Formats: sequence, structure tokens, C-alpha cells
Amino acid sequence: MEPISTELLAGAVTRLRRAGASYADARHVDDERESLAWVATGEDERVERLFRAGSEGFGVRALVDGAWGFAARRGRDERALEAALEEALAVARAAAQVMRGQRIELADEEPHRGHYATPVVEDPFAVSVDDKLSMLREACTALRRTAGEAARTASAHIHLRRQRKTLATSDGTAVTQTLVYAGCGMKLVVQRGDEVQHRSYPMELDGGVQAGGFEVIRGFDLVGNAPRIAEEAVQLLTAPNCPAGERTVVLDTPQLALQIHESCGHPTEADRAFGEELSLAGGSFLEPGRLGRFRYGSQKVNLTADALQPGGLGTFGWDDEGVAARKTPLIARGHFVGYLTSRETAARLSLPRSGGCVRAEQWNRFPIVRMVNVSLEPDERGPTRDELIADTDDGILFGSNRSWSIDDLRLNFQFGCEIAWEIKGGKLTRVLRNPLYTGSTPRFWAGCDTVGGPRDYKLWGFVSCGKGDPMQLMAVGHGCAPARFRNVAVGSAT
Amino acid sequence: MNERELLDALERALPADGEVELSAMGGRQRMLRFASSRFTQTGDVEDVVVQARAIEGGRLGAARTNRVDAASLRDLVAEARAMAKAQRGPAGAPGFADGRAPEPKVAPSFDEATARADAAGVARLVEPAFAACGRTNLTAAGLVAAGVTTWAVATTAGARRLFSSTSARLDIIASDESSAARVGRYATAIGVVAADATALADDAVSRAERGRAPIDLPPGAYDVILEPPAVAELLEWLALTSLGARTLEDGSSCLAGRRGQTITGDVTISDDALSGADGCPTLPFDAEGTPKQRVVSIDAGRVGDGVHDRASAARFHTASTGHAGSVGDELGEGGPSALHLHVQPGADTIEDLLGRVERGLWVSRFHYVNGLLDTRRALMTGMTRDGLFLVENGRLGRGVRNLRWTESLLEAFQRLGGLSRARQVVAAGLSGQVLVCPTVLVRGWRFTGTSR
Repeated sequence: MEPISTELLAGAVTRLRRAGASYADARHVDDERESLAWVATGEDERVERLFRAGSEGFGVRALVDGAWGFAARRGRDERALEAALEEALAVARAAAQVMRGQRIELADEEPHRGHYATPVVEDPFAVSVDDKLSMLREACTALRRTAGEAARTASAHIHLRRQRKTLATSDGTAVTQTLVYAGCGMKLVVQRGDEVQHRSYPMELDGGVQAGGFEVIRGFDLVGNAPRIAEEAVQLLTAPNCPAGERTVVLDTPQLALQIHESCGHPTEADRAFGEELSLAGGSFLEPGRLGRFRYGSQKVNLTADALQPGGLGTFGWDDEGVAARKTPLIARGHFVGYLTSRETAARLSLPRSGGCVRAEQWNRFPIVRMVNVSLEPDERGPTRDELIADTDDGILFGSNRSWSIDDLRLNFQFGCEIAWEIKGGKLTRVLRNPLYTGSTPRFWAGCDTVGGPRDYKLWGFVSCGKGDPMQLMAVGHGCAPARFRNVAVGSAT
Repeated sequence: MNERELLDALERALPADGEVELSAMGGRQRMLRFASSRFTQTGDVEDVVVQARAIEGGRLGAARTNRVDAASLRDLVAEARAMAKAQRGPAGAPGFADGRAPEPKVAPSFDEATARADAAGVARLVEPAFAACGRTNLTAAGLVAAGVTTWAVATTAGARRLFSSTSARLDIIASDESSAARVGRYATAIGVVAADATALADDAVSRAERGRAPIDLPPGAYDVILEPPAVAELLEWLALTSLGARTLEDGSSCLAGRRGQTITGDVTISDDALSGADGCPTLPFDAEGTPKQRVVSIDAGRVGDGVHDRASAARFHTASTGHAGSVGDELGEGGPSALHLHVQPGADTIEDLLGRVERGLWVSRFHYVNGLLDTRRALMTGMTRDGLFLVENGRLGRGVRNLRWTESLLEAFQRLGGLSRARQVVAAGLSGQVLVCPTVLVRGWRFTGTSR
């Protein structure tokens, strides 16, 4: 379908300004998804999920008398846009009546024009459904064949999404974007007696997802990785529990990506720091008074928010309030130096510009501060994964995530993993099951003594980052190489 | 488009031949979110999701849209059929509901005033919170919302279902730098919430004042009184990890292979979308048009039944219980879901429960619970949040800094010290569930870390 013209939206924004809005933006989003899943249990194997989904509509935001009004209407015709416009004004006025005279300021942003598109090699929606299902079926068969009698259930999935976005703001921005991502994953549940374990690849949480086309899915090679994953799952059935104690820990990239997400990405969201997420996601220990004054981690730790990084789920041309994508340091040599910001929070922090981190899950959601690609910068002279293990005399390597929990200020966390390996004398030795580690964010990152180099750097993606109320699920990216942490409390979940 | 027109549109889009199901969920929601005693996010959203499922050669395909004009619905059906034909895998998809099973009678869940509430009327519900917090050097955060949702199902096999319900919600968090306390009210009528708005604001402020200058307690085992929102978050995870047919099938559910066995204490947990007990919203059918049944999953501690949709029921050689996942629910795409969990009340008053605690903790709410640690034991971890108080000699005391816990729900419920007679309807944040829970006393809850 033809994209909605920026002129149509620009006209709506002009009408909102004439009606009294000090700022306004209007978006149209045409959202396509495809989801497939295959499951095999016992004698039964089946297509568990197979659908295509489309959703489109207008989201209009107006700042009137110091209050935000947002309204959304489905469809693509002018009547829907007009209805959204009228209701956005009504909501803003209703809010302003109760707020009585409070004001919202926005950081300046120059007007932008243009189009951005995710680079795609192979259109994922054009690959036949049967080819996709065959790939998933083959992966499940390989998992079960390797696991033998221990296999309980094998599953594999593919998930695709394409969003066509049009945005106009009252500052004169008029841009269009086509964002595409693709992802896949598989999981094997094994059982012996009452012991049930599982392994997944590339990770259980959303699988492996990146911006791009079907080449992303081919790159993960589910079938080729199935035997290794199945062997590890079977090993878990008889492996000892992870022993409790204070240990040196190496986090492999799937788990480190989640560690970054929870303990750096969320606490650097400026709206959380201002208390705007108290009703759901919580606050942040990185209070505004700590900006530029707080030691977050060791000097090995450099974390950035980069919406320009190729392949990232947080990569785009402009955010949902028309701010051009950019790269912002969050933690520099261990010091807290930056937030993920909107135009509103940037103004509250007296920053000259927004960091360009405002996104809405859909046309029907209010845009809020979200992570882009929040990544741990590799140490240019850092070791590979193998070299890091070889350099560790006594420690534990944690694999991909099984459970995650962190407090409402993003300080106290506990992460469980599917699998871990003991490291002795620089070598991986026995498999450990039900491993978990726990800590407090600044103390944990202060213990980071080695960050891996660029050769094993991997950009991961999560598509179900929950924030906002009503809940918005956002696609975000996290890049990292394996890293080592000293004096971490570890143990077993059981 | 009104609810009748929605069902008519689905009906007209059904093809004359073949097996097709059209299921829709849509409505209008008005919400305002606030923090630091000002509105930060607002919204008036109107949307609908229509899902077409088609069976071709015994294989199932599906497609979804939010366009409900006749041409778009025809295209949707064609796309679902194309998806079904495009596969060569195993056949055997069960057919669609024929509508012969009578729709159960449910308590009404629709309130005209809530459906018509405008933005100004919804926003005004927050005024008492702003005023009460302003008087006490606290700030108000939270959410106020009101809306209407319609479900409609039409199948070529003959099913026709239509139901609408309304909901209203006010959550208030009163906080300052050292304390935060949350209270909330969820109902099917905005008038119920409006009547409570001032009392809720006063309660939030009173709790926040009590929580100022919290003390530290070391980790360890403490008797806890869990308020309904805390109980609800535990059950939300129990539903996700153990009550749906998918987890029973793969063996990861704590119920799997244990039917009839006693796995926990004297607690009864059921999924009930019919009774409207304690003001719980009702829903007579699921997204497949199957009449909903009350399903008892844990009966006085013994393992009962999981919940099923038509596909899982066929594999388990039983009948669907009417628990197909919601149309368009991304998190619910894992299969049948228990979305209306009720915990059977006890006989105690809150004072009874307090009176049984010599030294313990009052837990208002949990944060970031994760129930994936060991699903066979329902082992979970999480933090306390928004109101943790010391209980000494049966009296509620001062605030306590938040603690991490790691606990098996099954084992914890074996140490029950009582359940309240009064229950509260709680809307879960993660999954769209609505739960009805009492306040619960548990002995020896295992706290494993502090928030510093």
C-alpha cells in the first residue's frame, strides 16, 4: 500500500497549531508482522503458529496549555486523522484543566526531511511459508534426534516485522521510514524422571533478532546449531547444581546483552530518572544529580546509545518526535555521563538537544523514552572469548538467560541462566545447571576487569522490552563482547 | 462502528464454503498517566483487531488486520486461506466452534456511563490525589483509565458470539525521596472508582507517610502478610508457567503429571470468567467462540485441570475449556491462557491476620517477579515495592527498605497462616489478566537480599 504523504500529516499539524497547540506531531504507521512456530512433542509435530498481521493508523500528539494530549485512530483516511486530531486536543485540554498552569518545555530540534530504510538483502516476507516451516521442522527434528529419549518438546520460531512510518512535526520535520527486522530461535525441553531442563538457541528471550531481511535468519543457522544445543540440554539433566559462593564470572554475549539492558539501559532512561515510570517500570538510581558525578563501573566500562549502528533494532533515521538518530555516551571509562532522552527530558536536564530516544510501539501508543542500541563498547585490544577463558584461572562462564529480576531502582538484580560451565586453569570443565548470579549494579560493574575485543563482539536484539502503561513492547539492540567480572555472588536456583 | 455492526461485518465476510473463523476484539480506551503530580502521558485510542483463521486440507492459517470494511475483511479471509494452503506439514487442525454449545450466563460487565466517559471526566478522578499529596509534601504518580471492549466471533460452522464490557481503573502512588506507597481500584464502572477516589488518595498518602525513614532489615525468613496485588503477581506467573496446556504438554508446568496429587497447602485457585465475584469482569466465550468454563487448577492443594483451547483439547482428548488466547495478544501467543484467576477467600479479617504475626512484614506489592527459575517447583524471585512495613505484636509499624526474595509458591502456600474473607480485583500489568485475590498470611517467606 502507498505510504501516507507527509503533506497530509503536515496539514493536520498546522491545524493543531492554529487550535492552540504550542507543539504538535502526527504519525501514521503501517505495521506488518509474520510469525511462524513449529512444535514437536512425542509422536505429534505440528505448526503451532502461522499468521500474518497488519495494523495501521494515526497517532496525533498536541501540547496545549502545558499538557500533552494524544489520540489514535485506526485507518488511513482523512476522517480518521481528523478524529485523532480533535480528540488529542480534547485530551490535552482536559489534562491542562487538572494540572492548572504547569508548563512543558522541549529542547530545540532542526527540521528534517528525507527517507530512511533498513538495509535488506532478502525480503523476508517474500520467502515462502513452506520454506520457512521446513527450516523450523528440520531444526526440531535435529534437536530431538540428538537428544534421543530425553527429548520432551522441541520448538522453533520465526518472527518478521516491517513498519512504514510517516511523521510530521510542527517544527517542520516531514520524514518517512521503513524499518524491517527478522528473527528466529529454537528450544529443546528434556526430561529424565522428575528433572526437567531446557536449552535454547540463540537465546530463549525473543531468540536472535536483528534489523534486516531473511539473511538474518539464515545467519543464525538453526539446523547447524541444533546438535550442540541438544547435547548441552542432555548434559544438564545430570550436571551438578552451580555451587554457591563468590566467584569470578565471565558473561557470554547473550547474557551480557540482558545485563546491559536491565542494569544500564533502563536506569539511564531520563523519564525514569524523573519519576515518570513510577506507576509501572519504576525509577532509577541514576538520579539527575548524579549526572557527570557518579562512578558507575570500572574504567573498562564504556556504554553508548547508538541509533546509527548497522543491524540494530534501535537503528533508525529519526525518532518518533523527529530527532535525528545519533550516538550518545552513557558511561565513559566507568563514569555516568549521559541519559537516553526525549526533547522534554533534555530540556529538563538543560541539554541543548535530545538524544533522539523517543519511540512508540505502534501508531496507537504515546511515544516515550526507549532504549536504542545500548551497547558495551569492545576494548580495541581486548581478548577473544577463548582468550578470556584461557586467562581465567578459576571462574564460571554463564550462557544464555533463563530468568531475570531487578528492583525498581535498577540496583539489586538476580539473573538465572540455562547453563554455565566451570572454568579451571583457563579451560572450560564441567557443565553446571540452574546457575544464577546476583548483585548490585554499580558494585557489579566496578568488578569488570576485562572487556572482550571486537572479534567476538555481537549485536543482539530484544523485541519485547516492556515499558509504559499501557504496556508497550519495544525492539532494542545491545552489542557486546564477552566480559569478566570479579567477586560475584553465584549460586543455584534450586 | 457499534458492537452489532462489528458482528454483522464479520458475518458478511464469511465465505459461502470452506472452514473459516473470524474473531474480533476492539474498543476505545481513555487513559491519563501521571507522575510528579502532573500528567505525563495521555491517550484516547480506538482500535480493533480482527483475526481470520482458515482450514485448508486440515491445515490452519491465520491473518489479522485492523481494517473492518468489507473488502479488507474479504482480503483477510483470502490471506488466511493462502497461509493454510502454503504449507505441506501435518494436517489435523480441529474445526471451528459451531455455536451449538449454549453461551453461559455471566454477571453483567457493561456500564453505559463508563463507555461514554469523556477525557475531562476521566482526568478529574485524579484531582483528589493531586490535592492530598500536595497537602503532605508528597507527589502523586499513577494511572487513570476508562474504556469499553467488544468481543465478536463468527464461524462458517455457525457460531455467533458478541459481548461488551467496560472497565475503569485508578492507581495512585504517593511518594517522596524516602517512601512510596501504592493503592488502586479496578472496576467495571467508573462510578465505583469515582466513589473511592478520595479515600484511595488518603490511603496512599497515609501509607507513604508511615513509610518515611524506612529501616533496614537483614535477609532471612519472615512471616508476611501479602496484600492482593502481591498475591496477584505470584498467580500471574503461575498462570504463565503452569496452567496453560502448552506447559502441561512440555512437562515444565508444576501441575504436569501430578493430577490429584497434593502439591501445596489448603488453597483453591480457579479460572472464572463467569461469576463476576467481587466485581471481576466477565466474559462468556473465548476468541474461538467456545463458551468459557470455570476451571479449578488447584483444589484445596490438589492438582486439578489446566486450561485448553480447541487445538490443545484435541491433543489431550478432552474438550476446550474456552481459554484460547486473546486475539492480537503478542504475549499470549503461547497458547491457551488463564486470564481470570480467583483465589478462594478464607474466613479471616485483616485484623485476624495481623494478630497472628509476632514479628513479620506487610507486603503491599511485588516488583519484577520472575517465575522461570524452576517452574516445576513454581520457584520465583522478585522484589518488594511501594509499601513494605514491619509488623510487630500484631500491629502495623514503620516502613522497611525493599527486600529481594526467592521462594517456591507451592512451598510457601504449605505455610499458610490464613486468608482474608475480603478480596480485591487486580489488573495485572504483564499479561492482561484480571485476578481476584484475598490478603494472605504466609509463614517464613524467604528474603534473600536487600535493595542496596
